[in-house]
Amino acid sequence: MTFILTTKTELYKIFSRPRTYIAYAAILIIILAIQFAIYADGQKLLDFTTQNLRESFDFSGNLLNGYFISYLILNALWVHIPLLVALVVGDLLAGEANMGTFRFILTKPVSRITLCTSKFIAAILYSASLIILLGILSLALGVLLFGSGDLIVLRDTINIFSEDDILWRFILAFAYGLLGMCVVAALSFFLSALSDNSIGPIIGTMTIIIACTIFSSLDVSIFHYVRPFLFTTYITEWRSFFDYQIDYQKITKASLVLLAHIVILFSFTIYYFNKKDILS
Amino acid sequence: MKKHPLSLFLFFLTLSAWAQQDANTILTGVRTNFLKVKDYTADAEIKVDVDFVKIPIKKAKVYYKQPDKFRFKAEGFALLPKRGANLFTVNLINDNVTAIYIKQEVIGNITTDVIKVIPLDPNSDIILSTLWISRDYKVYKLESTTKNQGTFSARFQYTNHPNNLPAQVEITFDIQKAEIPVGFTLDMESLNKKSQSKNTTGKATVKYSGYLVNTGLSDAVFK
Repeated sequence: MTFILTTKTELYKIFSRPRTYIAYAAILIIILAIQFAIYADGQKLLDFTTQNLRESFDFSGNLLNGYFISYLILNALWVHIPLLVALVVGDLLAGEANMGTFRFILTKPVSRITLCTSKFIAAILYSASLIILLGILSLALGVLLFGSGDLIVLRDTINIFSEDDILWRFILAFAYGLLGMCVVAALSFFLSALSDNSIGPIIGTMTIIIACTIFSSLDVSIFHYVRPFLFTTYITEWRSFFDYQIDYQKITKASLVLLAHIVILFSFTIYYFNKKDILS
Repeated sequence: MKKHPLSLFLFFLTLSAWAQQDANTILTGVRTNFLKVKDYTADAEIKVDVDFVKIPIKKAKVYYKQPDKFRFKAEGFALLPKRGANLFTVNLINDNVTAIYIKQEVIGNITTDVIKVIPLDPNSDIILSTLWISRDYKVYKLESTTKNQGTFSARFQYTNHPNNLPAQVEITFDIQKAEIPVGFTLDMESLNKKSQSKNTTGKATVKYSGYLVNTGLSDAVFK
């Protein structure tokens, strides 16, 4: 009961801060901007991409539809959503330390573990709200503006999925995307526990993500050994749901690695926060 | 009796002229069959097999009207090979070609005449074609070399349609691999992937059924 009450309080705190709404506004603006850009130039780009195919095939049907736009927007997930997650989650512990409210909170009959867990659950729920908003807005607005139809996915192969074979892929991709964002939240939360001001965890999270993304993406042999241990190697695995033959074994492994990151980072946070001297 | 070299030459010239005429007769037979079909509508099931394109089997409706109007409409999105899927629109069965009889060949258990066809129109994309035509003037196989798109071939299967319309066409064609711009897909992973060979061979199988022939199809269908 105390745990639920503390979590509700933490959610109230998150949603009473103006910075929380920056993330929602950013998502809305990004989605509208991408949709406007695709509305203006999408057909030309799609024609350019498929020009080799057009030389050999006649096309029938609309490929520039809401699902295609949603897929493009989802591709931006790993670029901008981590920053939006870090912006709020990085402040959860460090912000309290900075404002000197920990002493007051911890005078209540709430254990540090309960408080820390409540804050983390609130962070997860906030991250989930971002992903759900991203999913609903991109899909609903996309279908409303561009209509529905089969989905074309441009990867190393051109994958075309029938309309009745798309929605479940999006749902699983968004769910996997949420798992990835939970790792970002766990990292940001851990850095927040280490710091006494919220700027450090936000910048720290982004720096780690950028560095790890470079290590994961660059095809240099020295990074081959560390790559399997970096969460950024797996964070974009949601794209596998748009493969023609889904490698569930690979996705399960990636999900387990991400889950392990969350557990390890959260355990470190609990351990550190339990031992931390609350001086302000 | 000693054979005169000139008589031998004349013999081969006559034989060649006969063969030439024979090739034209065969093409005329095919053309006569074609002209009986003013228009048609059919259901098509399209299976595309290209290594860099993954698409499920699609159902579509195809429309044809003489001389060369063709359109297909699919449920959702579908691809149909530009060449070979519809023999009527392959610009070979007309007067503006040179046809040469080559030989007889058996395809399956059907005896066919093999004819080389060279379009005379300088704007024709097809440089040279080979047609395998049965004695009842059905085209069973077609191989063409084009100016810009490499080669393509098509194998036709027939049931017992009164207008000799095919029940299945298997098309094999050359295709260039599409280069997908990363800026469009934002898929940075693909940067590390080694690109496949640029030229490849594609295959498509189109099964036709439910033919409706000479229904007086409106031109509006093709707009």
